[in-house]
Amino acid sequence: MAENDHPPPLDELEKRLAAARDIQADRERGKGSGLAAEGKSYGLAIRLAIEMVSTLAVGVFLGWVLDRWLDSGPWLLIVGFFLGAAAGSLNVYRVSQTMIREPGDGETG
Amino acid sequence: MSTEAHSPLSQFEVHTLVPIQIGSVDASFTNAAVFMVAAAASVLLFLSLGMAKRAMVPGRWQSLVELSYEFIANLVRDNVGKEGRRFFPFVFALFMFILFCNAIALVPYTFTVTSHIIVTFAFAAVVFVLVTLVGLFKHGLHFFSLFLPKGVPIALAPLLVPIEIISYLARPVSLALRLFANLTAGHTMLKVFGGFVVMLGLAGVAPLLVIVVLYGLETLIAFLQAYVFTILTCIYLNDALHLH
Amino acid sequence: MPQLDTATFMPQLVWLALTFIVLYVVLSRRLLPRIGEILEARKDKIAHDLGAAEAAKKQAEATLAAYEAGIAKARVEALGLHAAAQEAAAKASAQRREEAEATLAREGAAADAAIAAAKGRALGEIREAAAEIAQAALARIVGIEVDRATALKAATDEGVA
Repeated sequence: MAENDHPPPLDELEKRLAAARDIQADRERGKGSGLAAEGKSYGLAIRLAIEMVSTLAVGVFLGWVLDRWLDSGPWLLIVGFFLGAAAGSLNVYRVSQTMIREPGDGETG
Repeated sequence: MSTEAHSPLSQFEVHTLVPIQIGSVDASFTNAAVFMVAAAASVLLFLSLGMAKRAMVPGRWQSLVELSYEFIANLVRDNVGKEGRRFFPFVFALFMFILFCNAIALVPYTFTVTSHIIVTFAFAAVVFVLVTLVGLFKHGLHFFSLFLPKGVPIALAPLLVPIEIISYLARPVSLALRLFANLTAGHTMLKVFGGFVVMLGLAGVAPLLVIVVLYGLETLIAFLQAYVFTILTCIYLNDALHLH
Repeated sequence: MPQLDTATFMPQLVWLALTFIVLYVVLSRRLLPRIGEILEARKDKIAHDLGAAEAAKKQAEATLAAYEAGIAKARVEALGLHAAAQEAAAKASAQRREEAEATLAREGAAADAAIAAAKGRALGEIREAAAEIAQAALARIVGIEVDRATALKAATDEGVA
């Protein structure tokens, strides 16, 4: 009968309206930025290496500066070396922790 | 180091084009400066031409502009939160500038601005200073609690505080080093394999294939490194604002 | 490594600062607010359009409901009319049948009466004829003159026919 011909278009409209609303809501919520994997293994290796090297370098550099300032021989440089190595390891450990927690999205310095 | 014309590193040399001296400062216009200006101009052109029509229903170009805007806006919102809005223009400028420097560098015979440690370090230093100032303004001396992780026995403090300070100071170094190393390594490799192609003549097909693959990888890295630099900036800003 | 040539540091820093500051200022003062504006305007427009679409849908639903109610009402009415018509038709046909039956009964009764009358008349005629015959036969055979009334009586008593 005639009344059976009418509901489908309205139902469909309802569906399309709901879909449009969802899209808009998603847009406003700002669906995460999807891209976080830094080229996987290659990127990870470089990243951790850079992390280690730069932290170690900062430790050594600080030690060297303090040595020159306090005229304390090579001692603070050596201390700086070990502290830098420790800090580097700690950072690498932290990065790996965030990676275990959220695979592919560990982006902490 | 080597100044031979065909050394893979010769592409990184800076040549003075117009010598300019302001007081004791050497402000010469170099080939590096050419590409910095080109990058900044391209960003401005890309954005203003894309938004010229300001259409309600965006065309392809305008969509691209809006996409980049929302990409960074989401990045800032997700990683820094509401207070991050103030820094959005800075983060956006940073991302676009680095991205366009990297992208322009993909064109053969161009100069790679971001392959210079002084440039990447300057960016990292600006981020570092900004983050530190933001933290100090927001939290005053309490900001230094960043250096003593919560729930750590006080006895370990003399050991942990220096380690945390070194980590904090290492941030700009690793930030700068990462961008510099990635771009320098990529472009050097491209040049080396390019040299192979020329040397081997017909047999140069194999290294040519390597170049094609490398080139694709470089394109990815150009974007990825700009992204990583930007997201780390956001994360540092978040640390300074919220002192985890 | 050319990157470590400290002589190039200063000019690079100067131009980097210059270009980046120009970029930052133009972006934050002009371009980004413009992009933000249009995105905001679009968001509002989409929200508004979605609202309008929803209202239109509601209205369509109301119209459909009214339409369906109308159909249902008409249907009930039609059913009522149908039943009434059926009843009327049944009543009419029943009345007609009754009438027909009554007519038939009347006509049958009339016919019976006519038949009975005809029979009586026929019987009378037969009796008369029988009396006449008997009278004539007696006169001729026995030579007795029986009067007509006696003969008729005898014929009736004996039950001719």
